[in-house]
Amino acid sequence: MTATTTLVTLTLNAAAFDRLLASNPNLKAALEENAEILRIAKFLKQATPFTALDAAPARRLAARLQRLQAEAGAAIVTEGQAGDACYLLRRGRVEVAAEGRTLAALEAGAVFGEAALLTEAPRNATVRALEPCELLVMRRRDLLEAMGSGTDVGSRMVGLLRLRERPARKPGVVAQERATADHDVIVTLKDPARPAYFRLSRQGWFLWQKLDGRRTLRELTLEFMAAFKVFAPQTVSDVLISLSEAGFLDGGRLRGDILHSLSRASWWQAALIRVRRVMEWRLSLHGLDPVLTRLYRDGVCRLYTRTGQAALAVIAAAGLLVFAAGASSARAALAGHWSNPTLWFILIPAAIAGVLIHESGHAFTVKAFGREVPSGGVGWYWFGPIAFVDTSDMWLAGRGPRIAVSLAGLYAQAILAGLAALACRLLPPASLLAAASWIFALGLYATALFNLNPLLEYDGYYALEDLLERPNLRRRSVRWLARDLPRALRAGRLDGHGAELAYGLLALTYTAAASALAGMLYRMFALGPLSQVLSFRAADALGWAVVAGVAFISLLSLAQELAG
Amino acid sequence: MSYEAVGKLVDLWMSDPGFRAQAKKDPKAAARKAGVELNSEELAALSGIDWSLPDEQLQARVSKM
Repeated sequence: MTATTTLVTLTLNAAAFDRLLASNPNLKAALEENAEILRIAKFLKQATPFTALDAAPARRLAARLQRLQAEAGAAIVTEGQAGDACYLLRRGRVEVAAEGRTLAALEAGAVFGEAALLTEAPRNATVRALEPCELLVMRRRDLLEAMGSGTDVGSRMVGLLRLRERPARKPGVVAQERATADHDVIVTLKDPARPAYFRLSRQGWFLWQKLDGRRTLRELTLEFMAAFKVFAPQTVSDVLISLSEAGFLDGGRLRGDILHSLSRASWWQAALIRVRRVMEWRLSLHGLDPVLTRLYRDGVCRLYTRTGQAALAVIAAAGLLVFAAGASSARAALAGHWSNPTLWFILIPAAIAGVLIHESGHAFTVKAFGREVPSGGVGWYWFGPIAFVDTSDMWLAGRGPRIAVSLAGLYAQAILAGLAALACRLLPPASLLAAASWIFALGLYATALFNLNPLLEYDGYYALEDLLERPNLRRRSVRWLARDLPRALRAGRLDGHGAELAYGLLALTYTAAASALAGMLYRMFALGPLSQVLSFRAADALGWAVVAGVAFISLLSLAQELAG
Repeated sequence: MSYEAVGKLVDLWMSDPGFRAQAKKDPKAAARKAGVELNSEELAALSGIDWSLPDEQLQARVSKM
């Protein structure tokens, strides 16, 4: 050791130090305890789930861990028993066995018994000392504290759990197999109890059938390799984790406190969750399906016959032609009615009826394909009120029926608009009812066009994702752009991800365009009136704040898709 | 196919985060570094992984207007 500055040192030789300790047993014990804590902290930093801990949290954790000695042959944990601690093997070797079968031998540095800390499940194996062992005992409160240190200790512990468990399918889940447009086979799982849906590839379906609670990740990976000739432990693990997170695996569910600790969101995620909760508020009405089923059987089904569909198509087409042909003369006839309040007393209930008919179009088309509509309701979606129906059960149907359901609301709207246009043609030209019919038809056609925009999560979006066979298209595209585009650019090929690239870029462009449009609309309609109230500079600044706000919310929304 | 060698790779993958990270970037180099002897069929299997399988939870379809 070389002094780099002038310094003063104090020296205590070994003999004097020994005399000091001998005359102060309390000091000796404290120093020994401190040295032991430092040794344990060093050991923790070498043990896999705790390597990311900083020095101070590692020392705090080390001070809390209990030390345990086990004689050769002693059972440290016993299969089937409840447990609230996990163990770090500091010295010695242990054997892991379940159902009378030896599974593994673990050496110093290994962690075991973590399942009891993270889940409600009883011990899934017996661990016995093969030789005299020294162990560190970690209780749940110790783990929670380590997880709270801001490092990835929690996710590493959960990763360890997932690698070791023997996953089992949740009972009651139904599976529906179908061929995709490019002749691949996919399977959709449905958990009727919630309901929730999960899409499996051919490989995922292979794994699902093997999840009998008897195979570990190791065995599953080897069987997967034998079947598909690929070494894919990461893929197998990803499928298992996705299934578990989606609640399709039995048991092994993380405890509430662990889950809470793991899912602590960053400030911007928490802010966005709150914003979305307000901006995408919904009031759901459950138990709709029996009512819809009865209505469908008692009469609506006649609209889904060939004759019924032909009649509806004639109305929609004739109405559109009449509307287009009469557009120029109708505008002139409207001029005298805008200020008549009776017009709005007609239009407001008509608009509500239009929304109900749109949603009924979706709901009854779901029934026509023999699937369920679990709920519907009303709510608020970003910039206006909405009505909705849940058509998720169509995930079990093929691509054609799903597209049909997605577009059925717009079709119902087009039929209603056609009826309104025909009524306008039949009514006296300058009458209030003719004017109301024309405005109603115009509103229906305009909202139908808006609804077709696939960059917003309306009907056009669902139709596009079905057409492309890309479920969760928005999330998938944003993630592909952020995570895989650089690799694709380096490799010089897209590997079948052209749709993700195009949609992701369009979504980003749309974000910019929506912000610009918000700014333009503000300047066209709001800047002038607000300048009368505020100063021009303040009104102008408010305009820029509107643009920044729309861009910020849109980008946060994309970022949330990325973060999952 | 030698399951003993592949089993050793799976064990390594499960126990060693460093190996996992390297196997994802360059599986053949990771296997070589780990000292696992693989035949040509097994080496081919290492690089035939599709990391983008479409297994995922399906978001709720909410038709709204």
